[in-house]
Amino acid sequence: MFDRAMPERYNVRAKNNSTDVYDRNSIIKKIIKFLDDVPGLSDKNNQSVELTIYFGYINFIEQPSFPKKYGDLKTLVSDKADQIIHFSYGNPTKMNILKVNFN
Amino acid sequence: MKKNQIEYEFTCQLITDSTKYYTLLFSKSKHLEQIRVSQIYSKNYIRLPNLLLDNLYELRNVTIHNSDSMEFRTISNFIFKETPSDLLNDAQPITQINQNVLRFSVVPISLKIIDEEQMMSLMESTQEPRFRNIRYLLFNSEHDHVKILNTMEYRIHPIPKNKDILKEICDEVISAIEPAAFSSQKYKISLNKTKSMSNV
Repeated sequence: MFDRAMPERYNVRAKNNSTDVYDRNSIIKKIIKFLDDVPGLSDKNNQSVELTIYFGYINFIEQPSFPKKYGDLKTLVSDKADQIIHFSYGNPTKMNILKVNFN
Repeated sequence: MKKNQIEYEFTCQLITDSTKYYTLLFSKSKHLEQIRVSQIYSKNYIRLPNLLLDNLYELRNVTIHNSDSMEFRTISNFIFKETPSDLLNDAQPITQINQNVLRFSVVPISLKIIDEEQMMSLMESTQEPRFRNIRYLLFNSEHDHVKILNTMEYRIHPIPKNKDILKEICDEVISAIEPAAFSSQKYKISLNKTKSMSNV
């Protein structure tokens, strides 16, 4: 459980092409597809599903820029089977969120 | 229950069931106000290229029990062997919990101290998602110590299956962390016009 600050098993699609070019719309589309695929959301009247989005740092995922964050995980990555991912919480003082103009 | 009355959220599990999470919501005066029983549906990690921060999107199925319900008393009784409010000590800031009030079968997971909460509004929905500035205490039984983190989260409940609303939420969350150069006209990120987040 990441709640206990432990790494967890996660299937990383290492062969997928990804890009460093920032395309906001395609990112949002991808996220919506993730969210949309959740079975619990299929009932439009379901009033019990909660979404929480955490801000933090992924130590490992499928982007070209991520090897910088590999660290000791590098050997695990070469397995290409189930991989380990670790999510650590962000420091809010470093976030632009405090600069967002809330209306 | 007023939304911003809650100041502490204690989450635990029972050793008999590792799928369910029990989150106990305490008011500023450390009174147990609500119990939320949840199960995780999915977790999606999102890395945005060239950006400073990553996101974890977590969907949970949540059942809410308010203090006037039978379930509230039942759950409270199998988590606490003493008064629930004794879980939180008087030290300021709180850096640990009093585990003696918990029953043996309870596994503490985390304590969130909600420092600031900012209600947001959505165009496509009447719901009010929240940005929350929190201090997060993680209990790690292996090392017998508590890790304290300052962090930020965005929460909405319930979340409807409506792509327009989902898009608006994603837009809002991404806008909050993307460098100003990437932001669209619609979501202005201002370096000067900072409106401070309201205190709870």
